[in-house]
Amino acid sequence: MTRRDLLLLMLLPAFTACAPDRDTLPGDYSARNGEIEIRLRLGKDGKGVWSTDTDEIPFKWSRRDEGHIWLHTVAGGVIPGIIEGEDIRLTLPGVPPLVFTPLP
Amino acid sequence: MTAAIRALLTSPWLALAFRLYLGGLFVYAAMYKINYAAEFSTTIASYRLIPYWAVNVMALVMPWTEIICGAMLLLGVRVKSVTVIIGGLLSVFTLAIFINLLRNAPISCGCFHTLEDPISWWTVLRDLTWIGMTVHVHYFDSVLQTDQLFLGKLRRIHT
Repeated sequence: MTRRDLLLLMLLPAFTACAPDRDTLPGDYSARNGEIEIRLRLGKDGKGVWSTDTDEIPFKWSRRDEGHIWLHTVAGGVIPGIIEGEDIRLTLPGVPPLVFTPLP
Repeated sequence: MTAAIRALLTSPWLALAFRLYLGGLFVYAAMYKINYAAEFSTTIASYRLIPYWAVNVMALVMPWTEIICGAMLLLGVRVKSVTVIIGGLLSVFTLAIFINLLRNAPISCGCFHTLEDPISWWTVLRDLTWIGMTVHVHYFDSVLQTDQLFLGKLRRIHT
């Protein structure tokens, strides 16, 4: 075993901490909260936008494990979501659960 | 029998296993906090132990300290010094969790991610176990220390 092999072997545990892939989720989604339509854009780069007629809020998103997604707001908040097939269900305080369906 | 147990407990190979485990653990823990520093600052604030002006500074400095120390443990560079720093960090974390348990504060640890289970006595026990591992590494680690390879070369050049 060379010194380089030894270093690679010692660095292996660090590689286990790599981020999970995001390749199946990116796209545009839509949900309704009463009269209000909310759009969700998940970018391939891990960035996204939450938008209504009046607001546009940027965020980062990450897939935590199979079936879970987190939206990370700039202010330091986290919105957890559940992936249900092609839909994403988000639960926010004081609001009925929002089910985002992919836009064609 | 006793000698065999003592040999196992003082084994440098056990210390190496602990060192790699702790190194990987700290690198893994730091990666999320570095990516989401704002979330980590809210986690720190939720402990209600440090003044507000220090929260953001800690949220930026602590994860980088963790990742550098973790990488140094993985590589076996300045292990004794790093274990002192990591032991200090773990002691601070344990004390902070302990105080908030006494307060009955319904907060999550924030050790790895923002959304975690609430702190409990198991969290304290887990951190104490890691402190024990750190102490073991400090006293018994002597295998595959990368800096010793280079320092040995330097000594040979010097002589």
